[in-house]
Amino acid sequence: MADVNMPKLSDTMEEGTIVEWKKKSGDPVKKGDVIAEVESDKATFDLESESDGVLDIIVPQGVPAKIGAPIARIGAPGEAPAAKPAPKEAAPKEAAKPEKPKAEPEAAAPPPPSQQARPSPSAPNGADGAPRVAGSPEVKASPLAKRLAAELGVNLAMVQGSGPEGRIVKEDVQAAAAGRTAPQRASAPTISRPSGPDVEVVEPTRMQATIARRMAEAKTTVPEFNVTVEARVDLAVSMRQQLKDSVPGADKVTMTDFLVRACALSLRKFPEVNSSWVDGRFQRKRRISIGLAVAPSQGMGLLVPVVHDADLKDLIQISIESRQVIERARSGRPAEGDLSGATFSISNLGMYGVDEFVAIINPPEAAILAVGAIKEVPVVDAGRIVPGKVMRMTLSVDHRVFYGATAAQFMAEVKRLIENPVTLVVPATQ
Amino acid sequence: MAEEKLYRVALREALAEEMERDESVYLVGEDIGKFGGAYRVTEGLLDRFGAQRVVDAPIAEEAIVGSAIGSAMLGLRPVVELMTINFSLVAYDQIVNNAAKIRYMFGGEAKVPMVIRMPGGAGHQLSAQHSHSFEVLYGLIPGLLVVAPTTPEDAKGMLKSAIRTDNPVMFLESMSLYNVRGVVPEGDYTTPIGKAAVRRTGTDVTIVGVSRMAVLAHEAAKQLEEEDIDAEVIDLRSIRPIDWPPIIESVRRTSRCLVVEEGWATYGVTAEIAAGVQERCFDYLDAPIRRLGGAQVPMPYSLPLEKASIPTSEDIKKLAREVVGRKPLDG
Repeated sequence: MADVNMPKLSDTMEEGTIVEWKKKSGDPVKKGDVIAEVESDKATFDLESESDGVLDIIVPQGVPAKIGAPIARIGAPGEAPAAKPAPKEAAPKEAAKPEKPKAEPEAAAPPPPSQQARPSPSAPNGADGAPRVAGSPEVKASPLAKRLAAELGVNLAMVQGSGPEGRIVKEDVQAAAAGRTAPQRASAPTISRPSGPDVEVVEPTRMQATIARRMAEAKTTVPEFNVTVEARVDLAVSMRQQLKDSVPGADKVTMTDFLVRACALSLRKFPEVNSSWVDGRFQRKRRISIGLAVAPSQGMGLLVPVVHDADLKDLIQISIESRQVIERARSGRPAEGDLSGATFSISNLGMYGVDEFVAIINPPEAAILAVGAIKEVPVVDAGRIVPGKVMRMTLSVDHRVFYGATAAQFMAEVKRLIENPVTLVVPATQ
Repeated sequence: MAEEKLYRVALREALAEEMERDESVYLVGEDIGKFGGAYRVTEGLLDRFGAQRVVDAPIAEEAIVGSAIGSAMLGLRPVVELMTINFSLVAYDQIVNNAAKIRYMFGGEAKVPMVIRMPGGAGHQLSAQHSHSFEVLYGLIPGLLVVAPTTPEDAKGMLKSAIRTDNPVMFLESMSLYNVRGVVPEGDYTTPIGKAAVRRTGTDVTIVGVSRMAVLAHEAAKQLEEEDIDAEVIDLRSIRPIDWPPIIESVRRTSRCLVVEEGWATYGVTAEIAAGVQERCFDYLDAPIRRLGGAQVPMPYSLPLEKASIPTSEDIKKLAREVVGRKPLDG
C-alpha cells in the first residue's frame, strides 16, 4: 500500500485541488498512468501513479488538500484499503524473546491496535519510530497536538499545520476544535451545495457599473504605455518616522502623502503630464489636483478622493487633508469637489505587499502612478552590497498627451524627490 | 543588609566562613596561597588561616586530588582548587576511580567529603587545550555531585553546601563569571545542591541553561520579550543530580524546550536534558526539543573564530524563534 500525496508544484503552492479523478476507487492502475488532474495556485497538471496496484481515493474531487497530505492510496489487488491493526507477533524484539513477551514494555511495545499498520512487518511502528496517527499515517503533528486531537475529537488529517515544515501544533488543533464545522465539511463531501443555479447573477452597484464602463472605455480608447522606476526610500522611511515622532499634526503622515507631494512638484515641472486630450486638442491644467485610488469601507468598488492644489500645500497639510477627504469619501458623505477635478492619480497597493503593478488611467487624466510595497533588499551602494529599502512605481501614460522621454523625465523627478525627501518637507511655494 | 558582591568574593567568603566554622576544612591547590589563586578567589586566606590550612601544592593535579581524597577518608574536608577544569584531566582517574567510588566500595565505612573547585569555559583566547566545558565528564559519573552556580549568591550558598556534604562535589566555576556582581545575602546561608532555579517565568518556551549559558539565556529571554516571545529560563545549577520537577512542570506548561550549554552538545548535558524531557513530557511537546552547544571543533585561538564557536544570546534567540515557530526576523 503506497500513499499518493498532494505534490508541491510551486514555491507558493500550499494546497491543491483534484479537478478530476481519471480513475475510480477500485480501478487497477499502472506506474505512469495519469490518475488525476490537479490544480495548484498556478496551473493544472496531470498526476501520475508511482506504482502499480489498485486505486483507493481518499480526497474526492473538488476538495482542496494541503501539500504532502495523502489524497489516495495504491494497494495490491484485494488488499483492504483501511488500516489493519498491527499484528502483535510482528514486533521484532518480542519475537527475539519468546519466553518473556512482556519483559520490555517500553522499548518493544507494539503499537496499540488503533494505530496504523505499516506494510513491512519489520517496522510496525514506522521506520522512523514515530507513532502513526489513526487514519492518517502521513500527518505530521506534534505529540501535544496528537494528544489534544484525541481529547478533542479532531481528525488531524483535516487540519492544516502551521508549524515548521507544516507540522500540526497545539493551536491548529485548538482552532480546528473551535471551528469544528469547517473540517467536518471538508471530511463529508457528500453534503451538497445550496440548491440553485450554478451561476448567481449579482447586480452591480452604481459605482461598480460606472467603474466598469469607464475602465473599459479607458482601456479601449487610450493608447497607453508604462514606465517603471525603482526608488531607494530609506531616507523617506526614516523621515516619515521622524515626522510621526516629533512634528505635531504629522503623526498620521503616510508614504502616499510623500508621493502626493512629490508628484505635485513634478507635475509643476512637467505641465504636459498635467494635461488631457479632449476633442483632438491638448488641455493644459493650471491646477494640480491629485486623486487617490482607495477602496470603499464597505463592499467592492473604488473611490478616488482628490487633494486639490496639492502643489500649493506642504506635506503636513497634504497629510491632514488627504486623510479627511478619504474619510469623507468612505463615509458616503463627500463634500463638493471631493471626488472630482483630479488632474493626476496615484494608486498605492504597497500596504498589500504588491511588488509592482500597472494601473488603468482614469480619463480625462493623462497618467496614473501605481505604487508597490517598500521592500528590504540588498542594494549595491558605492560598490558594496548593503541592505536597502526600495519601492517600485509604474506610470501609465496616455501616449496621445505626452511621450516616452517626458514620461521618463517625470519619473526620474519623482524618484529624485522621493529619494531626497528633504525636498518634500520644505514649505510649499506659489 | 544584603549587598552586591563579585562572584569571586562570594566564593572567598564561603571558604573563609566554612574554615572558621569547621577546623577540618582546608584548602589545597596550585598558587592558592602566596599568589592568592590564579583567579584571586583565595586571596588573603593564607595570611588568615596559615600554611597548614591553605596549602600551596606542586604542579601535580593527580597528587593534589589523590592526597585530598586520602585526607577526606581520614576525616578532613579538603577544598581543592584546580587552576582550570582542563587540568582536571590529569586527576581524572583519582576523581572517577577513587573519589566517586570509595564510599560504595568500602560499604559506607569510608567517605570522601571533598570539594574540587575548578573554572571552565572559553572566551579568553586560551585556545584548544584550555577552553573546555567539561560538565558532562563529571555529570556522567555516579558517586559525584556536580554543580555549576551562575550568581554570586549561589556561588557562596552552594559552595557552603558542597563543603558540608559528605560526598565529593565537583564545583564548576566559570572563568567568565568571576567578575559578575550580584546581591549576596548577609550571614550564614546555604543553597541546596540538586535544585534548579527558575530565573524567569514564561509561557512560550522553556530555555534550560547550563552554567554561564543560563545567564545568556536570561539575557536572550529579556530581548525576546520585544518580539512577543515569552520565554521561561531555568538555570540548571545542579548537573548531577538533575532537578527534573521544575523542568518538567515548565515544559508541560510551555510545550516547547530549548537547552543550552557552552560545551559540545553532542553527548552533552543538553543531550541528557533533552532525552529526559522527551521521556517525561512527550505528550506535551508541541515542537522538537532543540539543543544548542559550542561548535564541534577544538577551540580556535583566533578571536573571531573563538567567538563564532561559543553560543551567544543571539544564537539562543534564533533557536528560540525556531522552536516557537516564528520566522527569523529580517535584517
